[in-house]
Amino acid sequence: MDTIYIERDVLSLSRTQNILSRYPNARHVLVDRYTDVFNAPAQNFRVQKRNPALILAHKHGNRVIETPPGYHIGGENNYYFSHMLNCIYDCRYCFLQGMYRSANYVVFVNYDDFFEDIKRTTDLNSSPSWFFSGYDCDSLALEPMTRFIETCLDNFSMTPKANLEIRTKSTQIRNLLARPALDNCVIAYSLSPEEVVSAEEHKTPSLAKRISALKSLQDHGWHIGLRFDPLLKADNYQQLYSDLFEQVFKELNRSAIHSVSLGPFRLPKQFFKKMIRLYPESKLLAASTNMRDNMLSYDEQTESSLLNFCETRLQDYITPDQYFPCVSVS
Amino acid sequence: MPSICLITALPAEARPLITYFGMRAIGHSHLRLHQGESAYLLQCGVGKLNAAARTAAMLQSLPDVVAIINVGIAGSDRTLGETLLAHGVQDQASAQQWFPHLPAVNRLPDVASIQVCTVDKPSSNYTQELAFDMEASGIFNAASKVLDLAFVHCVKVVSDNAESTLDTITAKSASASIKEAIPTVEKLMHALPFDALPSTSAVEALSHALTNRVHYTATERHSLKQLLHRYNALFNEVPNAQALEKYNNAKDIRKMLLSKIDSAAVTY
Repeated sequence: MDTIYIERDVLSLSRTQNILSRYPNARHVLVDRYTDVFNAPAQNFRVQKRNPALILAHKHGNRVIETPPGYHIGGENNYYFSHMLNCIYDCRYCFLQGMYRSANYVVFVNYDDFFEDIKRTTDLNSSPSWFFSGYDCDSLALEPMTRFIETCLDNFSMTPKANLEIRTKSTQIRNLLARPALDNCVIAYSLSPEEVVSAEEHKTPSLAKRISALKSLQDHGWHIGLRFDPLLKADNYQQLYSDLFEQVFKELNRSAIHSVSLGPFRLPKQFFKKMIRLYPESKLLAASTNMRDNMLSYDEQTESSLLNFCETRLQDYITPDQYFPCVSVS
Repeated sequence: MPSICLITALPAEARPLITYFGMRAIGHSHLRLHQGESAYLLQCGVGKLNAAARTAAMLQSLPDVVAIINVGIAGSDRTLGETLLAHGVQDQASAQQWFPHLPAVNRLPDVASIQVCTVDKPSSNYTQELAFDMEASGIFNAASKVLDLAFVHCVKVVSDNAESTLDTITAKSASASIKEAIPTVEKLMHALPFDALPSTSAVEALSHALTNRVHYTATERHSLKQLLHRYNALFNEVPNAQALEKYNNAKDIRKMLLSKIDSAAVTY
């Protein structure tokens, strides 16, 4: 990190100071609110992505939000939260490129407020609740710096009625392997064929490394989830996804996999328009797509062929109770 | 290197830059402009209103300018002659702020950064955390309407502090201060992230040629560029200009491009 913006109100917090101490050569810039810098006008996501700054901030309110309908892995009460905005990876399909003008990373350092809100929300419901981390960021990618998940797991270990899904592509799992697995936590990996990883998921760990991390986590007793999301169309998609499923399932204990889901490629129209302006040379974004209900997607026939094919192939590896269709976070 | 415009307020600030970059005056009805091989220079006059008005006029007059660096003297409770890079620019009167996206530290080692505060009247309320000037907010206000803030920067040299106040500044001392800042300005020019932007020249050239030959409405022109970009992305080249010559209206060209795009193979 070359430049770190710090909200004045969080400067003296020990968590802030710990993070700052990791980057002794960075410029420090004090700001009143993170929104003064993040997403301000005249910023270019693509240019900032080259050299993103870090912003340390306090999250006021809206820390725990209900998931959209259909977004669940079997639970009744479903919520998501983001201790961080933006991601160190650079996936060409990612909606964050269209949602934000800025590629700088925002880390909300008031972790305890998140945990209080999670506990309060859990107590409001009579049945167990699910909390999804990794919507506006990758949950684990900056864990060595933030240690958010480590603190989060300490809190979830004391709240058995609250379940946690940690969504990631990262192989930063050292801390997870250094502690006992929690029964109310699922580590869910986004997985794509290696050819897609190389072409579209820039700066991410390879598929092989993700599978290896999944195996280590499973061997250690963690519940694991597989998120084949987003499914991308290609003339050779049958080969790509057949190979992917074979590669993944041969390494893992299938019966112990908590959940598997598929997510079609979809983007809000406004996000897509911004993304195509940022990356006019992207094959993925240039390929033929459809607009339906203000969402960009593949045409219905392509989408359903892709989904049906993958669902059918998955039946060779998992049981119906492990499968949850269309939990989509591109 | 794409076109960069250096902006100074005073002739004394402009002179060392004009000399160093080998610039020559460009005749312009109401702007003081110079041009060298690697940059333009605009001398905008004193105060944020002059700075904003002339920056906006310069951007309209020189549409090839894609980056701006404000270079000038400033007051701060720091060592006289220290060169500073602005990490933020604030307009004192309106409290409006801009945060330029700074290059990596290793591209400008040993250059400290500071908040530049633009005041309407000269100020001697010196602190270590601020550098006072009278133009930066005007330049940022105008430039940020057109350019991304990764391409708008401000370099200030400390000209006055509590021990050597404003009234000691002379044209000669201002020129000497700016001369000291030239290595930083030059490094900053080379650190600007032009290579992070997509290359659009092939699409622009073909689009220009087609819209000169065939009638296009504004909406059709926009749509044509989008299709040419998609074609370029899918086939790694723009369509052959000669092959397009048989099409004599915008609709037929669009139809042809769409048909090619729809049939493009996508494999991983």
